[in-house]
Amino acid sequence: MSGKPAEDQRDGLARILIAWINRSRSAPPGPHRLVAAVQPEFSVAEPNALRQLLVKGGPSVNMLDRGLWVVGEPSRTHHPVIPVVTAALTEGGDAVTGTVRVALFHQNGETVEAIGYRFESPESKAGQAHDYPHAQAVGGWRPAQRCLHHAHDVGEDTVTCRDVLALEYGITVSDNETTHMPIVNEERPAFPLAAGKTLPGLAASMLASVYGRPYVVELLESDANLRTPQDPAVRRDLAFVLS
Amino acid sequence: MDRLSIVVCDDDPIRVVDWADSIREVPGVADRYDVTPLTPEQFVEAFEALQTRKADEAQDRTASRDDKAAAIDKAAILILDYDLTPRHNTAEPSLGEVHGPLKQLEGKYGDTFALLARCYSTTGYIVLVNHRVQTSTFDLTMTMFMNSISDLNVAQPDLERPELWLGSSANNAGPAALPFRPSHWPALLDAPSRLVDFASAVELDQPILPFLGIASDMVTAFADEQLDVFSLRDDDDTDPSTVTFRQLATESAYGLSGKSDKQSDENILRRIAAAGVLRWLERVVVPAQNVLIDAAHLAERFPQLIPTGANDAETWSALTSVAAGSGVIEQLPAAAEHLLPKLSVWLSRPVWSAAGASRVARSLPRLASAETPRVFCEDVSSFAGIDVAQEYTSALPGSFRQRFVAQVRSADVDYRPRRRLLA
Repeated sequence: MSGKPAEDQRDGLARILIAWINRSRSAPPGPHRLVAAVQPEFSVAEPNALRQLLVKGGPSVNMLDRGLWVVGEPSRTHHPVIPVVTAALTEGGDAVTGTVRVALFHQNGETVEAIGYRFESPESKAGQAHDYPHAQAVGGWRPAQRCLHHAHDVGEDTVTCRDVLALEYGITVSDNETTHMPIVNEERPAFPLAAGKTLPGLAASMLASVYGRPYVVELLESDANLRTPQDPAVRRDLAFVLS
Repeated sequence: MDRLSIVVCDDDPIRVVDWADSIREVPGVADRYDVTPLTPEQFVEAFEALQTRKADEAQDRTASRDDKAAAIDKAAILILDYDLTPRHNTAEPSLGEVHGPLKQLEGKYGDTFALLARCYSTTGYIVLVNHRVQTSTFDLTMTMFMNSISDLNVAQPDLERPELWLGSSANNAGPAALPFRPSHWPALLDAPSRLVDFASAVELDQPILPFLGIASDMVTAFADEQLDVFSLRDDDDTDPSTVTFRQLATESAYGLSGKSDKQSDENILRRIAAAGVLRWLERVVVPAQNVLIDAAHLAERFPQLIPTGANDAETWSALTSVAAGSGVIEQLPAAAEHLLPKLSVWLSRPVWSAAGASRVARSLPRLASAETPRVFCEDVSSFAGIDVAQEYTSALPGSFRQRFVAQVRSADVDYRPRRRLLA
């Protein structure tokens, strides 16, 4: 930990994601069909590369730009989900804001589907509605990426968000245009988060929402810096998990 | 009663005496052990005798014990050099050619001898010297010797370190000045008796994990690679909880190496199984600290378990000893119900169920975070403030890969691979 709030937050975000990667690597793989559909789609971040990017990658960092993802272990639920996560952050002065996006892939019969959410820092401009840490739905990550909200084949035929929009909604989307699925409202609702004023708080909130609080407790306990955060804001944010 | 014996083996007649002398000079060793260097000729004869025993067993002939490997049978600790190829005499080129019985050692390695000794003698604790590293080295992966056939791997300079033999560090000058004592080192003087006690207790046809007190809910907490030991030669789908000591000794990579290899002596089979299980526990399970956890890592993770509080330097120090009778268990009374009593006797240190002890710890109030957290430094087996320790990422299985060292540069210890150190 550096003692500089922004740097400590970036370090904390990296530590949580790396602890999650390490734990997921040792976990049972989950339903074969689901794993086979999800894992080949994403280049999984190696811990060192992820740390370099998130901690030392400059004032504005987006894992998507590097094609880096974290593919987590499946949830231990009746209908397992595999979470796939990217994060982005922007630093200005001592302040740093960010977003943690998660897609939850699950199997529905012969197909694999996903829903997505983004966990975000408070909107910082005066008068904005969501000036609190919040989570909102998302429809997709990029044009030409697989669509999160449409059942697509597990086999060789890749159906992209753009294909879905063209075929089912008659909407043409260029490569440079962000895909917005009409079936998802990405602005409302914006659920308030118990933590999220800091980047580690956003990541812990996302993980708690997927796996539950005890899982996050164990993750935080696996890293000495997360067990006892020295930055007061991070400590406050993680207290909802640890206390 | 015969005194216990440390037997030192090498192809080099001068070095084997030097090693024996330096071991004998370590405080405490000569009080309890005779240290005997085998001459290279005696060593070759022992090698041949063990190979004969192996051949006899394979053909269902009762192997003789009255042979040239008798010194190996009696060794409580067997110290073996790794590279056994005799050196050509460069000072006297005319004498350069290796000849006679020593020629048989050309191309031979200590792990071959270690496997023979383990499977065809009653030898005790086997220490392999200079395998992969010839200087004192802290392995930042913490997995380098995970699959070694020997019970411990060290470099030659380590043999002179009292910390290796005694399991504690005398110096209290602070972590940076502490001597090298990697966290996996046992108190070597006590290791042979633990192996003998465990081998005596082993019931060959009992399943290993229940015998050890590792319950089924703990088995599910292992990372996959930690259970590879239970993959049997002819039945790869065996449930790990059902594998017996006999199967481990005769059908796994931790026992007799070949399909046609046999051992009719049940005492030796018990020793093969006991040594295999202890290697697995000491090298694969305990270092990961994910299923079993030792006192130092338990206190690091949950300082609230120390009843006298996180400022009690004496307790923190006491938690790091692996010397017999060091009273580590009494330092963490709240976790007592999750201590694994059998394993705590047979292993080099007491261990607790990580899940059980964690549950207890989480029910206790967390300590105020104003104090700089202490972390366990794996290179010197001591605690330091997180602000002065150096973090690294090990390659251990499970979730607890983040570890710390007190030093990263030292005149007499290499730290490798350095890219694992956090920049």
